[in-house]
Amino acid sequence: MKVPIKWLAEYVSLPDSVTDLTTRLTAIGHMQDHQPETIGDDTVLDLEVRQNRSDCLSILGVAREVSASMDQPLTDPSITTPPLPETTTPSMITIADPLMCYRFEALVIDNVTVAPSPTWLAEKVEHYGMKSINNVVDITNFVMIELGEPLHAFDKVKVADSLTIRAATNGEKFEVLGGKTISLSSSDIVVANDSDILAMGGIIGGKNSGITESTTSIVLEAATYNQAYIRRSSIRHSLRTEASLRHEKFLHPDLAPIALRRAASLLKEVCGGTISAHHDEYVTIATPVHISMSLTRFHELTGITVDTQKALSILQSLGIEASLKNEDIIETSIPYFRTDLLCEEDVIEEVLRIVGYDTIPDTLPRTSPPVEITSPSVILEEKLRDLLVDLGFEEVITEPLVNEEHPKLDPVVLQNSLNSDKTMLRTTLENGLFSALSYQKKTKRTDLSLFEVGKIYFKENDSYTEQKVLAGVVTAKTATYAKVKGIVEALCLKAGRKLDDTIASIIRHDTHTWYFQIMTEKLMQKPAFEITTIKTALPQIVYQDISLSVPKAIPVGPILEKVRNFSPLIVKAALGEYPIALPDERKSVFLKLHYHKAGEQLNIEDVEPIKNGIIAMIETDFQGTLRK
Amino acid sequence: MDLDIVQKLQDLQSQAVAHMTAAKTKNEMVALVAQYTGKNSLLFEAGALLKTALPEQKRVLGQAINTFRTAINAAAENATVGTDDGTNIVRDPIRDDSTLPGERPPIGHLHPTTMVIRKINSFFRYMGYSVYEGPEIESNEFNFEKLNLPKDHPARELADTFYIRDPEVLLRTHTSSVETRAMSTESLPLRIVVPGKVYRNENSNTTNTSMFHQYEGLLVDKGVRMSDLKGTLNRFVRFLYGDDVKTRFRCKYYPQVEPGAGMDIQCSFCGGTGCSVCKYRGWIEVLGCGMVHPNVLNACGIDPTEYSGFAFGMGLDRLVMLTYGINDIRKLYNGELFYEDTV
Repeated sequence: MKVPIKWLAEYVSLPDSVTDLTTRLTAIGHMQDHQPETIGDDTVLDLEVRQNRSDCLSILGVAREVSASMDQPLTDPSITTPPLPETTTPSMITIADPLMCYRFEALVIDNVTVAPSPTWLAEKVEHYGMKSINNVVDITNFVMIELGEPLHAFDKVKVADSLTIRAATNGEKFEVLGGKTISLSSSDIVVANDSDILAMGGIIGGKNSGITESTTSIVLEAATYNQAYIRRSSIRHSLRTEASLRHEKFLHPDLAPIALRRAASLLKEVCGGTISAHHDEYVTIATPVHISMSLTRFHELTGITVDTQKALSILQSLGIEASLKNEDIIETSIPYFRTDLLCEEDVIEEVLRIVGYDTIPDTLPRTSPPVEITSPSVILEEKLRDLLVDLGFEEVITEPLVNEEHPKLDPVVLQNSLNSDKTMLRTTLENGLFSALSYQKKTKRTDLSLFEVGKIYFKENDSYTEQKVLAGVVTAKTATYAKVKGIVEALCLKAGRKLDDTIASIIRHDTHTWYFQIMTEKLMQKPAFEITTIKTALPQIVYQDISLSVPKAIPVGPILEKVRNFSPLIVKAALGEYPIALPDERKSVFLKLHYHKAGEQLNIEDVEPIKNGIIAMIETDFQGTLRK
Repeated sequence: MDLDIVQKLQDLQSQAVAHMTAAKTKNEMVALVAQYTGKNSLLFEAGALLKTALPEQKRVLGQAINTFRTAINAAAENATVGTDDGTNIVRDPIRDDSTLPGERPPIGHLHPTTMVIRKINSFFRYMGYSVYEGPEIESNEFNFEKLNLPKDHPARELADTFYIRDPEVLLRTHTSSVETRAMSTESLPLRIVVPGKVYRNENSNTTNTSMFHQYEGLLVDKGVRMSDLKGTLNRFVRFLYGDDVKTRFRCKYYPQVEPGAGMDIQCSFCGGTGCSVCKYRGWIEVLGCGMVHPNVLNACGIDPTEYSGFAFGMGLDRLVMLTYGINDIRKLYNGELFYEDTV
C-alpha cells in the first residue's frame, strides 16, 4: 500500500523522521516493503499489507494504526460528513444472488459538472500512484484510497432506470474500460441494466458506461461482494485492479454507506450537483462481533503481563469498544473496519503488538523434551550420504519436476504447470544425475562420482506414491561392474541389510560409466542383520584355496553359494581374485575357503575330504575342473 | 689406472655396515651416511674415477660402486634407529620427503543445502526436537484446510499451487503441511522440525524456482508461551549467525498462527543503514512464526484450552546462498555446482 505522508498527516500527527514512522509501523505488522519514494515535496511510503487487513488498504486505516501505536489523536473525516437522504422507493437495484453480493448502495446525482480535478485532488490521487482522470472519477478513487471502499460512477444515461447485480451467463461478452473484450462465465459477477453489462462488479467498469465530459447525471455506487468470487474472477481474467485488490479482502457492508456519504459530500463541493435518489439493497445484515479477552489468557499465551487500564486504552485507541466485565475479562465490540478480528487470540495480538513484541522476554519451554520420533530414514540417509562422500562422491540435488520422454513408471502429471519442461514428477533420478554429470565433465575431471538422495514419484492403482531412493553415477577409467556393485553392497551393509535384486539396480551406460539406484525405503523394510560379530580370541580358522576352471558362461554367484553351503564347517567362501579368461572358452574361479568348527581345532587334514567333495560337485554341477 | 680402490671399497664395506648397524640416533645415522657416501668419501672418489676409467675398468669399478652403495642403503634401511622424538628414521630422501604433499584419497562433498539442514538439525535436536518427515504429494486438507486456510482465503494467493488433481491432490506449498500431519497423528507433547522440498507454480529466475526448501518447527505442550518462542528463536539465530547478531521480533500475520510474528536480523552488509541486499530496510527477514492458531489445533484434534504451541518456518535456499556466496538459486538444483577444495 502506497501511503503519501502529507495525506496521512491530515489525520494524525506524525514523527519528524520517516524512519521512526516506518520502524514503528513495521513493528506493529506493516513492514516497509520498498524504500520510501519522493514525489515533489511529498514522501510516499510503501507498506506490505497482509491479507487479513483490508482496513490498511486505506490512508485512514494506516492513520489509525499510527494513532494507536504512537499515542496521537486521530481525525476521522468520515464522522463529520453530512448524512444521506432517506432511501427511495421503489429501489432501482436488484441483487439476483445474495451469495454473490451482500450489499449494493447507490446515489443518483444530477447537475454534475465534469471537469479536470482541482490540484489538491489530482495530486493526492497521483501521489498514491493512480492517474487523474476527471473530478468525478478522481473523487471515487480518492474515497477508495482514503477509506478502503472502492466506488464506481456510471453515466446515468447509460444506466437507464435499473441495475441488476447478477451472475454473467456463460460466454457473455464484456468490453472493459481500456478496450479489451472478455468472455464471462456464470462465476463472474456483473452489474447490468436490462440490455447491457455496465461493469464487472467489484473489479472494473465497462467501456461504454463511464463518465465523460458530457455527463451531467451520475449513478454512484458502493457495494460489498463475496470476496471469493472477486478473487477468482480477477485472477481468471488477469484483471488485478485497485478495486479488486480491496474487494477480494473482507470488507464490511457497513463501510459502503460511509464511503458513499464521504464521496457525496466531496462531489457536492467539487462538481456541484444534487442527490436525487438513494437506493440501498442490503439483504443479509452482518452480525456484530463481540469478543471477550481474558487477561490471564493474555499472560499465559504471551509470557508477559499487561496492566488492565493499559489494555483497555490500547483497544480503544484502535477504535475497538472495550470495557471491563470483571477483573479478568475485557469485553470488546469489533468495529466494521476490523474484519480480521474473529477470536480471543486476535484481540490478544492487538494489545500485544501495541505494547510491543520487543517487550516479550526470552524464555525457554518449561517442560522436558518428549520421546524422540526422528524418522529412521533420516538417520539412515545421513549415514549413507557420509559413506558416499568418504568414498569420493559429490552430492547433487536436482529438481523433481521434469518432462521425461520415457518415464519408467506411470508418472504423476501436473494439471497446471506453467513450464513445459516441468510437466510431471520424476520416476527416476537417472536423468537428473546424468545431466549433472555432463556439467561436471566440463571441469575436465575424468573420474567423477555423483549421488543424489531424493524421491521418485509414480501412480499406482489411482493412488500417488512417492518413494525414497538413493542413486549414483560413477564414471572412471577403472570403473567396473564389480566395483560399482561393491559400493552398492557397502551402502546396503551400512544400512544393516543385505543387497538383493528387488532393492537395487545397476545399469551400464558406456564402457566406463555406471548408474545405480537403491530403493532406500524398501531397503529399510528388509530384515536387519548383524553384519559384524566381535570375537575376543583369534578365530581358529583353517584356510584353503581352490583354483578352478569353469566354462565362461557359467555365473560365479551360484558356485559361491553352493560351495558356501557344501559343509557346515565352511564359514566363508570368497573369491580370491576376479575371474580371468582361459583358453577353450573357459575362465578361472579362485576360491578362498574358511573352515571353522566351534570349540575344536581343525587341521588341514580334516578339511581335505571336503575339498575333494567340492571338486567333485563342481565337476558335476558346473563342468569345472581343478587347475594345476 | 690403479684399481686398488676396488679393494678398498670392499674392505670399507663391512666396517661401514657395522657402524651403521650400531647407530643409535637419527643424527648419528645421517652423519654416517654422509661419511660413507658424501663428498669426502671413498665412494665419491670412486665415482669421480669412473669418468676417466677405461671401458673394462669402468665395468669393474661400476660394479664395486653399486655393491657398496647397495650395502650402505640396505644397512640404512634395515637399521632401527630411533630419533629424538622416538619415531623411526626418514631413510629415502625422495620417497620419504616429509615436505611432499600427501596422496589424499578422493573425498567428496555434501550439497550445501544438506550441510545447512544438518547444521540447523543439530541445534534443534540438541533442544529436544525430532526430525520429522511428510509427503510432498499432499492433500488440500493438510496443506490448506487444517492450517486455517479455507478455500478462497486471501492468503492462498501466496501459494501458486501445483495441482495433480484439482483441488484435492497437490504438491505441498510449504512444510507446514507436515505440522498438521504430526499434530493429527502423533501423541502430545510434540517437538519436531521439518526440513524439506516445497513447490510453487512459478517461472524460475535467479531468486525463485518452482522447487525450493523450507525448514519448519513446531512445539505443542501445556503452558507454551510466546516468550518461549522468542527465547528459542533468539538462541537459534545466535547459533546460526553468531553471538553478535542483532535481532528484531515484530508482529506479522500468518493465517496458521495467532499472535503471529516475524524475526529479522540486522543486515550484515550495511550494518542496518539500508542497502540493496536488505531492500533498504536495514533488516533481513529470516523467520516467520507465532502461536499455533486455535483453529489449527482444533482441526488437528487438539484442545486449545489444554494445549498451546508455537510454530516457525523459514526458507532455506536464501540462507544457503548467503552462506556460500551463490547468486543464482537455479544453480543449486540443476547440478551446476562445482566443488573445489582450495588446499
